[in-house]
Amino acid sequence: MPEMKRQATIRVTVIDDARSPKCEARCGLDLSSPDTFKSTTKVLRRLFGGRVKLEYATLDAIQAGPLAEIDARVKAGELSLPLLLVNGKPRVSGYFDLHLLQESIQVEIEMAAH
Amino acid sequence: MNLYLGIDIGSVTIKLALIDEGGWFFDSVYLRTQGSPIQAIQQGLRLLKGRLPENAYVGGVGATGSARYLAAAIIGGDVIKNEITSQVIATVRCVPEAKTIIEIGGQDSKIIILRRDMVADFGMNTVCAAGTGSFLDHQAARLGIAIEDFGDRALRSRNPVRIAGKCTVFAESDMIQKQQMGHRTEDILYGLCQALARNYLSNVGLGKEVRTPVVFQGGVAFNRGMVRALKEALETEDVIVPPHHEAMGAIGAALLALEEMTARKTRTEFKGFEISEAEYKTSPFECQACPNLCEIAQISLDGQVIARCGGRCDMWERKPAANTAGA
Repeated sequence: MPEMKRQATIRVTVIDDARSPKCEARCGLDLSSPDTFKSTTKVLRRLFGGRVKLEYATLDAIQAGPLAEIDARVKAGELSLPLLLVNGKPRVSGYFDLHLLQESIQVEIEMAAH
Repeated sequence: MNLYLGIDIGSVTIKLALIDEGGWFFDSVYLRTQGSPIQAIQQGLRLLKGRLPENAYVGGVGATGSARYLAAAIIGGDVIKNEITSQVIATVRCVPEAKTIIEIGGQDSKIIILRRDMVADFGMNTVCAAGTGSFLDHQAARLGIAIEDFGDRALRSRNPVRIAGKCTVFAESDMIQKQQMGHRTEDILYGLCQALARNYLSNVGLGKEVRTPVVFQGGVAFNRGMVRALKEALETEDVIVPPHHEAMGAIGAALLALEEMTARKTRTEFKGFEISEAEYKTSPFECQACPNLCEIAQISLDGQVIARCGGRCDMWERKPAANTAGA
């Protein structure tokens, strides 16, 4: 664990929009809601130490700023919500569960190391 | 003869691959896990052992797949890596010209965008069944068709039926309706391949810059109907299904083990083929780490806990087995 603390922070952003249409099947465990922030942060801390920073955002909140391009791509139909970004890059478009969230982070860590 | 073993264990299938010291493919095994990953590992090892020359020695082991921590604990892994890393290593080695990897497995799917042998972008799906092999498995079972025959029968389609299947749940009701309307089974089968190709590209592939050549791998690439449907959906003939496409993750894990052991210059952690006859015991406990209260399986050999698995995260899989239960 102490080794991890020296490494770069991985920023995980979950973008969702309460007004957007949702898949009715609701497969898996939905972690796209800010309600799950506390428990998900706790699990990520256990798995990756303090290396991962989790944040939730709505489409309105990213219209301006570094994620404005993502907003434009969602509106253009190139990406669907909810959206999981790792270090600002879209990794999962649609619902995700804890396994998928941690796999996305793990790939980022392995790619940086390899 | 020095060989390196890669194991890729997912929720539906297990793949074991052996490569030689030069990194070239030697042998592989592809089996369904049938809900018993440990027995599947043991069966895979037994099959491989029976085909090995007498002078064969396993110099390193790499594990990948969703149950990679469990596999590494059981078999004695030297390196544990994510599937994306393993798939990329194998693809760059086997199809160096690849620009896009499409991997569709039993219960997950991935897209990896490669530029100059490096990962430029990737996307994954493990939640929505509509973009994975389980979509076809489920519909094949519903139609009473063996999954092995699915692709060849789908290729006999003359007028594919459009299955309105953005979701596996709704696809089934649409498929039943198409059957009732008297459409040929072959046309329904190819319609299902087209639906999976569409679902994959509109889910995992959404917003990704797909360039050719595209390498299609994973168990679903056995289905020739799917290969045709993907070519149609991508509007290209430049879709390559490499030899041993189903075992690319395992080949990548073996290559990573070769790399690791060459750099490390220590003995492998491999526990030997004898573990295929070992008797493992499993006992459950409840994880108290978060409100999910997952049931975790604790796996013991000769009274000693060697691995833990289960739950909605990998916390217990990653913990050294010497730790006791009750987070």
